[in-house]
Amino acid sequence: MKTILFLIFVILSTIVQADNKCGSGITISKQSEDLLRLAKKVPLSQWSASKKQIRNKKCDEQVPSTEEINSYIDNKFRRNNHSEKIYGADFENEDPLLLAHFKELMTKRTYLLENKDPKNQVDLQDKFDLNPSCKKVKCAMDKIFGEELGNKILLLKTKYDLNSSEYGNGASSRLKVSEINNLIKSAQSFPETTFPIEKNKAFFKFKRKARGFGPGVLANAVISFFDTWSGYGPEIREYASFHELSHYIGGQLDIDDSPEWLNFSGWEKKGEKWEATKDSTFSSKYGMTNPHEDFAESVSAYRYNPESLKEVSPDKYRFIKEIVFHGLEYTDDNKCSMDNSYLNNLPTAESSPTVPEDKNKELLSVVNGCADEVVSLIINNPNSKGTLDQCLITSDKKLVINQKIDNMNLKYPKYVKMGIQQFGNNEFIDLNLDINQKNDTNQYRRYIRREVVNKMIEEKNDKKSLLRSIKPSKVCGYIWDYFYYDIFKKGIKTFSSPISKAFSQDKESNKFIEESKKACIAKGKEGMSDEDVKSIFSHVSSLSKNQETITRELLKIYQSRYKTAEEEYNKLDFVDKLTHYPSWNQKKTYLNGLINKLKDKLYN
Amino acid sequence: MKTYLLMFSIPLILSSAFAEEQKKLTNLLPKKVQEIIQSKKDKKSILALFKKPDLIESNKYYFIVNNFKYGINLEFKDGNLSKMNYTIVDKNKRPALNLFDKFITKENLKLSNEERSKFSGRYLELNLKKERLKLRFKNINSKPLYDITFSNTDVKEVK
Repeated sequence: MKTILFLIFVILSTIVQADNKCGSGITISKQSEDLLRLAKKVPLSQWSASKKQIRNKKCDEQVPSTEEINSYIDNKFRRNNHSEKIYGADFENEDPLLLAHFKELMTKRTYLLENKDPKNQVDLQDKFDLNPSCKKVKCAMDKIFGEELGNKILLLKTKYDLNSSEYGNGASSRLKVSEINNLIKSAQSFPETTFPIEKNKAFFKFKRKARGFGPGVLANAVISFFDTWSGYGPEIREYASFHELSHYIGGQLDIDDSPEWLNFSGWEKKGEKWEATKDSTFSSKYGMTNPHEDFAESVSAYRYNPESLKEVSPDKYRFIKEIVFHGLEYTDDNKCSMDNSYLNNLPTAESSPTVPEDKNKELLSVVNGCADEVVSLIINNPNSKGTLDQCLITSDKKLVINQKIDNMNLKYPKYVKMGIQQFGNNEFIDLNLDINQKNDTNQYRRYIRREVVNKMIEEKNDKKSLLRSIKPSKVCGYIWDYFYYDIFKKGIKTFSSPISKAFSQDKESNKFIEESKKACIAKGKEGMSDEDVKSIFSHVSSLSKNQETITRELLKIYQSRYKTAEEEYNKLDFVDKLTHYPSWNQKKTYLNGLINKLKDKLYN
Repeated sequence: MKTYLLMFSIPLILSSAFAEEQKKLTNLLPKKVQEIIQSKKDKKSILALFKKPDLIESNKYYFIVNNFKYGINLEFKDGNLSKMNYTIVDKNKRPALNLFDKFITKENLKLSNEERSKFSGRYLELNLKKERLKLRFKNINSKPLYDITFSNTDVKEVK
């Protein structure tokens, strides 16, 4: 085989040389290029990088020491003003965000669906005897996991939002320090702008000595790692973890089966199976399994063996460079510093968009970009000022980042923007946008926008016009609960926000919701009448003051529905009862659930 | 008399309850899939629901959807649909797993074990035998429905 490949290589090389010498301008066909690459290439390995390449990768960072982690956590969580009881143990004067992370580390979830597992929560006080000596998160982590492991679990959670705690999932087991070091190294191998991606992502060692995953399976997309993974050395463990994180990114962004990605290797989905038509574009044998493995292996090649990826598929290299690594490259140590990131040097005071001259235009962009928040402000929701500010900050960020991306002549700007908006380490972006700097243009712009909105809200007439200027679909989406309350008060059977979600399963109310929304949108199109606006304001204010009354009224309605349904069922003869039992039973369970929820709300 | 009534009524109850459940389930699926599941399964009427296929390989018909090769796969045997695989290409139109709550049991939901894979579990597979459906959900937090396989076992195997 090697001889044949060599012969093809020699023949093709001769043709290329002949072409070059003649200067005929004839280009080699794509097929010949593929053959040439194939002929030149060393046979594919199972993985995209060797142990040596993993060990010697560019821009390698050491795992932080205990002192460094402590300092990171102390700097990040400074608001020591919160007290809370978590699974039986008291915590005092702690940062609320740090407590939230800790609670997630200690909340056992089910393996498949990752729901909270109500039966198997650990009583922390009972099991670890934390109080009274230990009322801080760091102290609790030391007691539960030991100082080094506890610190590292906390680092993975607070910096990357990856949950590696053995108490975070019913199927997990305790990591060894050597193992968690590999997990940290894999997360560190992505640009610091990548994580966190989604909240509280599972990232743990599966129960040891468990069976059923096949002898060769290292890890899965949950993300959990199996004994086979533990059996490998540090390089492969890091590589496997990096590979899984690459899947995580590909899946979240939906880019590992985007038409662009599929085209690079000519992937075609036939049933549940995949076939590739361009065999010479892979960085590893394993990448030939399907486009998802191709993506994870190519991202791994990009990081650990970049020259090989560049050679087999410059298209994949560019795709990954832009979307996953935001411009960083790992071919030499200078190219992988954050100075090369698209997110570095984002426009600040001098270069950011100028203060708008057309205030009306600006207002429209604000009310439709932050519609929920503006409506909330109009209807006097007490928290709305902060929320509107937050929305304005976010919309400014989007604007600034999108402008920069547009000016970079990238090949895949759509995916790059999507990735940054969806992931994008906020801390990093905020820092680069100088978001908190006084007198910066962004802040001034937000100030102007907020002032314009506030000024209009102060005047009653403008309040109406403002509401009318928001796209009807947005207004209706936000305020349909309030319309419902109006209808509810008039005695029509429908339901208000606290349980509207539960009722979304109910056919009748679903139909009703849809119709009401349609009616609301239609009304909005014609312009809301003074009466509509007045009705919205009065109901909203009464609603916020009278939650308890609403709950009581809803309880009455459900109890009466239950009674009627029960009476109707009892009237049936034996055979009809049999026929109707399944639906009655379903209804009974459903209504009982709602009634109990409302009772809980009222009396607990 | 009552015994006879019971004997007749139980299968009726069960079949009507099943039909009701199936309707609830199919309502959650894309319209095209609903049409196929509920329509006649003969090749002519199924193919009439689609534009020209982009690839035909003996009894298999493949359709490109939004540049995705191939979003819809149909397989026929004896002039009838024997299998369909439908990928929901538009990620905004993928219903989440929690909408299928009432159809999930301990037995019918499992993690996928991809062929030749050293890393598995990219999907959660919901196997609904009675409905002849296999639903694969992407195993990311929101657990969106990725593809649907319908096996029409009414079609007799060709020997």
